[in-house]
Formats: sequence, C-alpha cells, structure tokens
Amino acid sequence: MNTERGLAEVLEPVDDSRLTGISQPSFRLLIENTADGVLVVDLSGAVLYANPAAGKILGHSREDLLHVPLGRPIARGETAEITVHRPGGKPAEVEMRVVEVSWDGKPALLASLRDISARRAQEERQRQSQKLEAVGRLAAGIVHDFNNLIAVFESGLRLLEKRLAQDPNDPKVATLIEELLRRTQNGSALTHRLLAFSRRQVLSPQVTDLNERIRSLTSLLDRTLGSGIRVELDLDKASCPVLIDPDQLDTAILNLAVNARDAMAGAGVLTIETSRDVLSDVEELENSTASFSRITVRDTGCGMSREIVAHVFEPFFTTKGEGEGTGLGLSQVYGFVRQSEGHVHIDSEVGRGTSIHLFLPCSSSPTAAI
Amino acid sequence: MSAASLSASNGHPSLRLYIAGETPGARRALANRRRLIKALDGALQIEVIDILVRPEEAEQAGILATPTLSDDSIHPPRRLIGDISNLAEVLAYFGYDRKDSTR
Repeated sequence: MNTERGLAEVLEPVDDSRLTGISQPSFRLLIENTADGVLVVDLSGAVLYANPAAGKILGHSREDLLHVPLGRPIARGETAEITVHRPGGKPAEVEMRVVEVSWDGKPALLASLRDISARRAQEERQRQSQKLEAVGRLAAGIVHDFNNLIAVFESGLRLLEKRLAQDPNDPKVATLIEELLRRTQNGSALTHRLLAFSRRQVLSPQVTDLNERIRSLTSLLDRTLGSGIRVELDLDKASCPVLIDPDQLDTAILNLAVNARDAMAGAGVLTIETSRDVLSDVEELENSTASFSRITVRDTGCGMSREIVAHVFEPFFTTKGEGEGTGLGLSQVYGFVRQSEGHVHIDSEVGRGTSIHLFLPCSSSPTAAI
Repeated sequence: MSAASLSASNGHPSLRLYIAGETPGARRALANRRRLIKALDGALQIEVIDILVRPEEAEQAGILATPTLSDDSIHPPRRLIGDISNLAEVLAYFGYDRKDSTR
C-alpha cells in the first residue's frame, strides 16, 4: 500500500479503479474487524459466511452459524428490526440491512446487523424523564390542592377538639370525623393517579380509544390545573381508534394542559376536543384522503406570535422565566405525534388564545394497520 | 414449488410465525400474519409461537431471531427473517398464489 497517501485522498469518493488497488486480504480484514455483524446467506436462507461481530450479536461461534437455516433476511426499505435471542442472554434489538450480492458466483444476500439495544434503552430513559418532567410541572397545582386539603384538616381537627372538650357524646363529632375521612380519600385519589402516571411503562403502541383515555385523564387535570381553570370536553363519538402509546398521549396532553395553564395565568377555559378529520394540506402524505382522529387542546390564554410558533417544537425553547419551564414539553408532544405517524398544527393569535391540533392516523386505515 | 405442509385438521398448508413478546416488531408481524391469511382467503394457517412463552419450541427449531416466518415441515426449514410486510414477496417465497384481488 502507498503509505504516502494523505487524509484528503482517502476521503475522496472511492471508485472502482481505486477499489481494485486494495488487496483481497485487506477487504477481508475490514469485514473481519468491523463492529457491525456481517452475514452472507444464500437464497434458501442458509448462512454462508459470518464475521466475528455477527457471531457475537447472534451469540454463537461463527463456525456454529455456518449452514444454519437462519432464513432469508428481508427488509422493507432500508432496514428491518429483529430481536435476537442469545442462548442464556438477554434478547437484543438489532437493526438489519439487506443487500443482494454475489457469493462464489451465485446470488446471495448480505445482511449487516447492528445491535441497537443501548440506543433503545436510552430512548426509553428519555421518555421516562419527559414524563416525570411533565409531572414535575404540575407540582404548583398539586401543592395548591394539598395546601387546601391541609387547611380543611386543620380547621376540622380544631373544631373536633372543641366539641370533644364540650361534650364527647355530641352526635356532630361523628359527622365531623366522617367528613374528614371523606376528604382524605380526595387526597389519596390524587396521589394514586399521579403515582400511576409516573410509573415506568415500556413504549407499547396499542389501539386506543382517544375519548375514553382523555376522559380518564381529566379527573387529574381538573384537580391540578387550579380552580381558576375550567376544563371542558367536546369529544366526538365519530373519532376513530388510533394506534399509539397511550402513556405518551397522557404525557402530551398533560404538557399541553400545563402550557395552557401558564398561558392563561391560572384563569380561563381549557377545551379538549376530538373529531374525525381528513388532512388534505400535508405535502408529505402519500394518500391525501387518509383519515385521522384530531385532538385539539384549546386555551383562552395570551396566544403566541408567528415568530414564537415557528420555534415552539424545538427542544429547550421556552418563553417562561428561568426555573419555570425547560422547553421540553412541546418537543415531547411533537416527538410523540411524529412517532405515531401523525401531524401537529398550531393556530394561535396574540391576546385570543392557542389551539394545538394533534392529528393521529386511524388504526383501521391500511397505512396504520402495521 | 410450494413446499408447505398440509395440516391434518383442514388440509390447509401451515406455517409458523415466531415472535417475542409484545414488541412493536411482534405487533407488526402479527398484523402482517392476518394480511397474509386474508390474501389467501383463509386457505393458510400460520401458527404463532411466542418464544418467550414457548422457548423450548424455538430452541428445538433453531430460531436465532424474531420475527421469523417458517415452514418447519421440510428439511431444511424454509424461513424468512425480518419484515414480512411485502405480501407478494412472502407468498412467492413460500410458493403460494394470492387469491384476493387487492394489491
């Protein structure tokens, strides 16, 4: 090899004439040492070659893999994701690319394998922290609620103390105790709902009835947004079921509700609407007649200027003061909707309020069925 | 060219779909299983084997990764591994002609 070659030359696009200058053993060395698993499989699915990384990813020695009827690797578009089950080990998430090659003069398939378990785990942790953050943002409302509850208890107990001192057999004593017990249930219902919400759950898309999910969430919203904010629901029965992770939907709605609360400075109306809709103005949609369920979260707050709307989905963008917002709420909403193959639209007018529309594809449509 | 077995119960050829748990990949594979059966007007059986529930069967069959769609009735077994959403490709590989009129 020419040791005089500089970096710039190496970075130049490789053409065939240059490839012929690299010896076969050099190629072999590259394949044998790459971190990606490389498998060559014949058209009947039997393994013809495995590099050391492929052996490691699949949890078998490369000798054991030879001639094994692994199956013909098949990907749609660029890649496919498979789960590898290593003997005695944890399953690994693996991204597989497939290209057609010729091997010993016969057609064959080359599958390159990349272990993406670590990346997946990282994404999972990020989702969890986004959720916890949304819970954290509700803290102000919850603290307010609990302070009210504590005030009720304090005055109730003082009253009880007084009555007991006057007449321990006063029938009002029992009524008062009953009332205070009932109030404790309010408090524990709230904490149970929060705990259930912040519990770690794996991402699992499932066919979800939006109306039902939103209804179950509003009891939490009602109690945590503060008494100045009225939550109204306008749920259309015609909205279709969607294939989404319901846990992430909760986080998204919570994020939108907290933003709305802040935009309304604690007083106003938060409306959550659903309906069935058709998106016609989205260029990237192949099928412009695809049906969607729309969720609209509308507030009567201060609204946003066009310049601000242009940036709101960027991570860490916030209009709130230091220590009040992290700027990650709407980027979670955006990430969730895009991951669910949906779209987000914003209508906002300064001084009038903001409507955020989430369009999620109907699970019954063929594009969403997989 | 069809090498699939005939199941004893109703004479329909049968395949096995090996999946693992309830991952998004497994869900996609199950949705594609339904589409495959529909494409053959129900004249195909695809038994689902969750290898987390029945690991011994996967081990016996030598399944290294999921989703794998397999005709285990022949030797060596005929298998596809990865994304089985292209019905035409999948059916052709196992030697079936689709019967429905849609794409």
